[in-house]
Amino acid sequence: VNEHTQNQLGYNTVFALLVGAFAASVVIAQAMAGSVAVFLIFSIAVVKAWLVLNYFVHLRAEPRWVKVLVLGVLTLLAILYVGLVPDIVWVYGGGS
Amino acid sequence: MTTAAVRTSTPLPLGRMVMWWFLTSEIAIFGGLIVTYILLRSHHPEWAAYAGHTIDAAGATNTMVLLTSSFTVVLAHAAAHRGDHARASKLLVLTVLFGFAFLGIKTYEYSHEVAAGFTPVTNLFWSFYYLMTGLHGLHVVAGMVALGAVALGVRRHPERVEYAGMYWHLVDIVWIFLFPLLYLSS
Repeated sequence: VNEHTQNQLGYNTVFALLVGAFAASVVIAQAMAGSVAVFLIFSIAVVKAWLVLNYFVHLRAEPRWVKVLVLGVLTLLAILYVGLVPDIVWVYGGGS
Repeated sequence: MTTAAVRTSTPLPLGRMVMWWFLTSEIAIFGGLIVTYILLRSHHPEWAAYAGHTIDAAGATNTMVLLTSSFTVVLAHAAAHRGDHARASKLLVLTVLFGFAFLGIKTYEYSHEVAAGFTPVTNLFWSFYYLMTGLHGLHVVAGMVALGAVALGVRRHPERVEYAGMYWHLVDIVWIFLFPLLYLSS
């Protein structure tokens, strides 16, 4: 019970951070343009996902194999991205 | 804790272990779609103009709706853990109501976009838009059904609040990426 009482304070803080990050991404989208804005907006999205995964889904408190499982699927997605670059980015659309 | 819940060689309850395997398979499904979208997007600068036709205010409102629903579901988990089943049940029902709000806003968006002539067969951008948001919407519906069922039986199975909540958080995480991809990247 103590653990969850402490966590509930954490939940409020995490929720406030998520709302702040959401507001920041909207402001950046309105105020900026180009690759820097895209980079910032997606960086904020990654931070938000990390906050939800670690503090709401409690990934940070799980055994190591669970973290390896999640990192494993993210690694597979990275391999998918790199593997498809020659077919889609280099070839698709005739380099338009 | 039931016998089934501890029948595993890991220190993790069986239900949570199953949920992690399920969630990672869902990450692979949505991640594959998102990776493919990003790759194609890099080759189609005109998609920025198409994304300009999505309704930013609706997408932003839905983002807040899902973030808040993630908060209510994690509070439900904490309440169930404390043994406050009535509060857990109320928070789960509130989360389901947030789900209805999300779907209502999404329906408004779809009707607006279809009326403007943007359908799944208009071009590749709109195909991706309807595929990713439609698949996500189906997950929202499934999550609402799961949360509703769990809300009815919190007293008998309080551990299921956490399992249904894990699924709902995944729905939130997917939207965290769909929002900038389909709305803000215009």
